Amino acid sequence: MNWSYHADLGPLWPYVFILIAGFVATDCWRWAGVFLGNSISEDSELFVWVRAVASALVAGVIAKVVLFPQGSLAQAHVALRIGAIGAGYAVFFLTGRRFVPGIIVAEAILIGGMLAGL
Amino acid sequence: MNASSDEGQAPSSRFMWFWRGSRQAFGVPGLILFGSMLGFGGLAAQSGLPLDITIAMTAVIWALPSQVVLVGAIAGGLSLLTTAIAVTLSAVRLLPMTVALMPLIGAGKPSRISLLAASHFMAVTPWVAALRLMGNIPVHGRVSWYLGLGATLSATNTIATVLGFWGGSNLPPALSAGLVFLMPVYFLVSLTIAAKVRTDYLALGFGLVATPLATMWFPEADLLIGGVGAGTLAYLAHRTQRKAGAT
Repeated sequence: MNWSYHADLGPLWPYVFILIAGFVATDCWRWAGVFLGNSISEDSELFVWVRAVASALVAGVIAKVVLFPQGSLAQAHVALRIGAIGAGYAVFFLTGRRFVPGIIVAEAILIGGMLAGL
Repeated sequence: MNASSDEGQAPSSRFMWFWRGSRQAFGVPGLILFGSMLGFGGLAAQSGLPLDITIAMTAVIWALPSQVVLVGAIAGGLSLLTTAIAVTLSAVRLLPMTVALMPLIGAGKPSRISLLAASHFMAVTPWVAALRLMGNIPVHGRVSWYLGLGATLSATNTIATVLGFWGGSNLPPALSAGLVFLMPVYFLVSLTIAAKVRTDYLALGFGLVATPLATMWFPEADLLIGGVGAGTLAYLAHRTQRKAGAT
C-alpha cells in the first residue's frame, strides 16, 4: 500500500493528507505551547535545548531550499544562490541588523545574476 | 484607562483592539511575507498541485517553511507518515515561540479556547510584531489584537498564495525564483533577530551546515538527523563552555 499524496484512495484523500501531514503536524506545536505556556520556565535546560533544536530545524529547511531548490530557483547556479543569501546576510549585520537592506541586496544579486545568465 | 483584567469587556473594546491588530498587518514585514507567499503559490503551481490544495496549505498550516517542506514531500511522493514527520519537525519552533508569547498574551487571563484560537496564527511575522508591540497594549485587549493581526495576515497571504499560483508560471524565471528565494532570506534574518542566547546562534549555524550533509546520506530523514543533531550539538557546546567557565 502506497500512502503518498498521489495514492488512489478516493477524492477526499488529498484533503485528508493535508489535514494530517499539514494542519495537525504544525498546529500540535502551537497547542502544546498554549498548554505548557505557564508551567515551563524559559530558562530551564529542557527549554534551551528545545529552542536550539527548533532553530536548527528551520536553518536546515533554509539550507535545503538554497542548495536543493525546486522550481525556477533551481535554474540559478548554486554559487549565485549561496552568494546572494550570504551577501544579504552580511549587509543585514553591517546595517545594524536591519532586515530590509539585507533582503533587498540578496534579491538584487539573485535576480540580477539570473537575468545576466548566471 | 486602566480597566482591571477580571472585568467583562465591552464588545466594542474588543473590536477596537482587533481592528488595531489588523492594521499592524500592513507594515514592511507583512509586505515581505506577502512576497514570500506569492513565491509559495508559484512553487506549488510549478510542482503540479491544484489551486484548492495550495490555498488550504496557507490557510490551515500557516507556517511557510513547513508549507515548502510539504510541497517537496508531495512532489517526492513520500508516504503520509514520512511527510508528517518532516513537516512537524520543520514546525517545532512554533512551540518555544508560543511559550515565549504566553506571559504577554495570557496576562489578562483570557479563556483557554481563545488562546488556542489565537495560537493558530502563531508564525514568525506576527510573533516578532507581538514581542515588539504587545507590551504597550492593555492586557484585556491583547488576544483581540493578536487575533486581528493574525487573521488579517492569514487572509492577505492566502490571497497572495492565489495570485502567486496564477502568476507564477507566467513570470520570467528570474522573478519567480526571486519570490521563492524570499522565504530562506527572510527566515534566516528573522531567526537571527529572534535569537536570544549563544546557543540559538550556534544552532542556526550548525543547522545550516548539518542538514545539507544529512540530505546527501539520509535524504528522507535529513531534517531529523541534521536538525535534531545540530540543535543538540549547539546545546551541548554551550553547556560545556558554561561549565568550563564556571570552574
